[in-house]
Formats: sequence, C-alpha cells, structure tokens
Amino acid sequence: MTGTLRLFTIEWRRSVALWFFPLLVLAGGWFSADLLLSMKVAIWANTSAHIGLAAIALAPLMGGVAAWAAGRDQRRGMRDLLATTPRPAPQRDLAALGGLALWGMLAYVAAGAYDVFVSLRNDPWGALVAEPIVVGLLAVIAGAAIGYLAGTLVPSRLVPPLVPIVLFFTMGLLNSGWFWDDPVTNLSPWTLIEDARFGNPNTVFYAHPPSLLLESLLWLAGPTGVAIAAVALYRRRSLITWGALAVSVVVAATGATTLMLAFENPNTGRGQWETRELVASTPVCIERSIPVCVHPAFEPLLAENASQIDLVIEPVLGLSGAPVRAEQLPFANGMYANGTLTIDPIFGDVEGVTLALVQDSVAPGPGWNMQYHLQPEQDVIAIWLARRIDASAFEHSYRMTFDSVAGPIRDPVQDDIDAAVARFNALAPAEQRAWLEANYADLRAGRLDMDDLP
Amino acid sequence: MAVNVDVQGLTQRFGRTTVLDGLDLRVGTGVFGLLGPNGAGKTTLLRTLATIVPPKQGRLRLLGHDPGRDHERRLLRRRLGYLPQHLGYYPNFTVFEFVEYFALLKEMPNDEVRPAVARAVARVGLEERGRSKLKTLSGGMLRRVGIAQAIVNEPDLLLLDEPTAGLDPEQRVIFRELLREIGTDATVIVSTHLVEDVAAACTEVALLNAGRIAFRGTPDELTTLGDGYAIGDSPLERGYSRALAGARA
Repeated sequence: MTGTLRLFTIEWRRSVALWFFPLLVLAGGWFSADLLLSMKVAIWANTSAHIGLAAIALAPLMGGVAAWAAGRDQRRGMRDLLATTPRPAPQRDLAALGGLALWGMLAYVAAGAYDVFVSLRNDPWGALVAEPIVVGLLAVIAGAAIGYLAGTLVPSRLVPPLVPIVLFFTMGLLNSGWFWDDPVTNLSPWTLIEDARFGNPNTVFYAHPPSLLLESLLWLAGPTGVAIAAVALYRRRSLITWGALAVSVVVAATGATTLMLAFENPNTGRGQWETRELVASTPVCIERSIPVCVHPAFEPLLAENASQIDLVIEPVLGLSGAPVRAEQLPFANGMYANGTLTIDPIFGDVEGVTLALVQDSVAPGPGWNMQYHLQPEQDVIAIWLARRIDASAFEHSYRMTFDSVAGPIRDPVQDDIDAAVARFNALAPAEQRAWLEANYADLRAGRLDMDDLP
Repeated sequence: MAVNVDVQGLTQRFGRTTVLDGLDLRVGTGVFGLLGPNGAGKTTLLRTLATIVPPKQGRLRLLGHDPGRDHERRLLRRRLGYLPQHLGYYPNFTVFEFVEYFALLKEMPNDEVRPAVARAVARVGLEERGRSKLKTLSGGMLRRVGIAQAIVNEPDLLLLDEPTAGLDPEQRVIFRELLREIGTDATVIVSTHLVEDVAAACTEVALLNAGRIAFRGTPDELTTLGDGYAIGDSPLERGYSRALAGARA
C-alpha cells in the first residue's frame, strides 16, 4: 500500500463525514425517494433520475462537511507541525478530500439502494439508466471538492454552514423557471438529472435521448479539478499545479460549452420528448363499459383507472360524441375524433377526462396539454361528472384554472355555476340522461348557454 | 564532528520587531539546550530551523542541505523531527494513527512505517494507550504523543520546543534518558525554561537574549559562571542569571 493510499485510509476512517453519515443518508434518501414512495408504479428510468436526485441534497451537504474538514488544521493548530513534513501538501489534501468524498459516495449509494428498494415494491418496468446516476455521483464529488476549496481559502467557522446554502440555491436557481429557456440551466446537475428525459413517467413511450453523459462528466469533473488544483496552488505554486488548474479550466469550459450547445439541440434540449423517436409498445387493456388501455409500465394502475373512467363516462355512454375507448397515449389529452379518450394513469387525470367529455377537443397531437376554453355551461357538466368520483381535489384545481381565465367576472360566474351544478345534480338520473341525450352534441360544440341548463 | 546546524547571520523580523538579530550558530551531534527568557527568540529560532519560516537574512545549512532550495528542503525534512511548543492534534485519531500519519507525511519507506510507529510509541511509554483516541488522553500523554511523532523517523535533527512541559517527574526522567540516547547519533536542540533538563540531558547549552546568543558552553561552564552569584536557587540557575545579567548590561 502506497503512503498516499495509507493516508487516505486513515483520513477515511477518521473523517468528520463519518459523523454526518446518518444525516447524509437520510437527506439523500428523503430527497430522492419522497415522490417514489407515493407512486403506485415503478419505472426504472424514473427511479434512475430519483437516485440521481439524492445528489441535490448530498452535494451541498458534502460541500459543508468538506469545508469544515478543510479548516481542521487551522482550528487544531496543526499548521506549523505539518509545514515541517516533506510530503507535498496536495497529497495530504487529496487523501483528506478522498476520505470525505468516499463517505459522500457511500451515502449516495445507500440513498440509491433505498430508491431501488422502494421501486422494487411495484415490479419496476424497463431498465436502470446510468446517466443520471453517474451525474449525481459526480455532483457529490464536485460538491465536496468545492467545499474543501472554500474551507481551505477561508478556514472560518462561518464557511461550512454557508457552503451548502450557496451550492443548493445555485443549483436550484439554474434549474428554476428563471433559466428555463436559458442554456445555462444545463450547468445545474439538478437540471441534468431531473430533466424529464428521465424523470417523467411518460418517457416510456419514447426512445432515450442522445446521452449527455460525456458532456456532464467533463463539466462536473472540471470544477472538481479546478477546486483541487486551486487548493494545491494555495499551498504551493508550481508549474504542475498551474498546469493542473489550466487543464481543469479547459475541461470545465469544454463540458459547459457542449452542455449549453446541447440545450439548443432539439434532440437533447430540455423537455424535447416530442421530437424523439416513439418506441412501439402494445398496451394492456381491460374491458369495462368501454375498453381502457395503458402502457404496460402502468398496468398496476389499470383497474383503478378503469373504475374511475367507468363512473365518469357512464352518464354519456352511448351518446353521439361520447368516448368508445380510453387509452394512455404519449403526451396528449383530450378525445380523438374516433372516440378514443386519452388518459393519464399516473395522476388519474379526472380534470382532463371531464374536460374532454364536455367539449369537442381540438384534434390532439403530441404536446404538453390540450387547450380548453370552456363555456360556463360546459363547466357545470364537467364539475358534475368529476363529482361522481368525489374528485374534489381535481375540481379545485380545475376551478383555479378556470378562475384565472375568467378574471373579473369570476365570482358571479362561479356562483351561477355552483347553483347550476346543484340543480343538475338534483335531477333524477333519468332526467339527467334525457337532458344529455337531447343536448350533448350542442354542449360539446359550445352551442348552449347557461339558460339551456335545467 | 559533523556540523549539522550551520547558521550564519540569521535575522528574523516580524513587522518592526527584530526577533533574531544576526545570529550565528554551529551545532554538531549531541543534545543542545536553548535557554533564554520569554521573547528571547528561542521558538522563532526553532521554527526557522524546522523550515517553517524562511530567514529574512542570513545563511542556513541543515544536515548539509540548503533549506531554501525545494528539493534539498524536502530531503532535509525527511530527516527532521519537530515538536512545537503548542502541539495541535486531531482528536479522533488514535495514538498509533497520529504517529503513523506523521511517519507517512515524513515519507518513510512503507515497510518501515508500522515498526517505526510501534517503536516510537513504546519509547514514550504509550504502548498500552496506542489504540486510544487522542481526545481521551491527558495533557502529559499528549505531549508524549507529540514526542513520538517527532522521533518516529529517527531524525538526524530533532527540534523540541518545551518538550517536558506537562510531563510528570517520572516521565521527565525517562524523557531525558531518551534525549541522551538520541543525542548520541543525532543533533537534538531543546528549547526549555527548565534548567534541570539542561543540566541532566544537554551536552551543550546556549543562552539566547534579544535575538542574540549571550552565552554558549557546556552546562558545567554555565554552572561555574554562576559561582558566587546571588540570584538563583541552583548553581545552574545562578549561572543562567549571571549570563543574562551580563548580556543585558
């Protein structure tokens, strides 16, 4: 075992990160598995993104721990004694940083193992994707290196708590709406990991995008190298350390540039699923009042979704313009001219279903969402249908959407709608059916007004 | 006798304060005691010899190396042992780990590290506490850990700043014996306020005052200097006091 390796072993065994290890695992596990726990289906690509997300908590925390560790010699009055030793200080720094980073990586692995465990409960579909997992791991190492640099340059007790805050908010800011359309968003590991290329369950319909792993690796290795070289330069200036700094800057700049260029590329840009190749899949279906079909990955949700759809469409079943089939389709909602109602099995999508039932939908195609412009009488029937499955949360969400469109006339319109929903609900089922038989086509076409309601 | 420490015209200043003032010193094998009042420049001299601070002026050759040159300084440091006045330590390291850590930092050959660590820890009488964490040790034990890390590489130049501070009488006796043993092959420079350490362990002694050497000789010569002088409880203390008074006059 070489001297540096032995130093590393001692540093790892006695690293301050050991004391923070339970906190690191908890933070990483919570940050990555929170949403997974609430999901009833598991998709390995999605789990991969969640594993990577642990880094969003771990990288800043490791930065803080590393900043604290880097200030150790100053706090402990070790500088004089260490200055008399011949081994180059950067080797000592590398051993200390390596020991810290290894604990960070172990915490990352532990959090990831928890994500895998959570996913395994739901018989996951597909295969793990390496890219977000590797990006997350690199982010943890980079966070530790940046923190170590900060703690070396400013060995103050104030720095360790500041580093996690700065790192977290920098990653968060670059991933936020402020930079949604800006290529610099790709410089945040958060963006690289969370990008719906991996994170959105609907990506099951599409081929994986071209990998940005090499670009991400360059970008995240860059700051790590810069931080280590800067620490070495701080200890002692030499041609080697200047060279290492220069190489690291070039690597980081190359990675950053290629990532930002990738953002502009329609194949690799943020949220650009629709330009990607669709992957053929055979849906799994269940026969209820109409056939209900979902992508095989969502089979565990099929029965529950079919029951809800049954309830919602039962009043209009068989009417002209009513759905004859419900199916999960990639990034579309609404109803096709052939009577296929699109559904989103993950979120239940009562809002989307009810809206599609009361309005002739614009021919749906690939895209985020259909745009609905409901009239109040359509709104009344949509809410009445949604209430059949006690979808109060969805009704609320829907009303918020409607309110934001209705603007100043919101309150009187809403009162009228509430009264009309109550009146319609009070009718006997036969009367409701009779009204719908007589008016359903006009309702969907927007040819009625509130006075036409019972 | 080989001259391991060769200092000529050494000057150290911190701001406007001159701490060492054109100091000349040549020391060979043996235990060399460095006495002097507070602020005389003892610690600064040791820190300079330990290559922590480069001299402002003057020439320095240690173990035949010029510490101003990178490569030579690195070679020199491999053969150097240093115990600072205030020993810092990593509280979660065990005794063995701390001493091994410094053996590795001193670039000892890998296969020699473990035996050297065991030997150094045994020489300061801490074998039974070898696996104890430093934070659990008493002040005197920590001082012995500091000595162990200083001697782990069996240095040719050992610089000790107040090494016996905090040691109990029994340990001081053992420590002086250790100094005498190391001093048979190496140069040991001990800065101390305790004249009994000098009397018991040193082959030569210098009295530093205001950055200059006020006296240099054997402990016996310093003792003789104090004959008939009133200030001091022991013969050596009287010699120390007379030499200091002469320098100040």
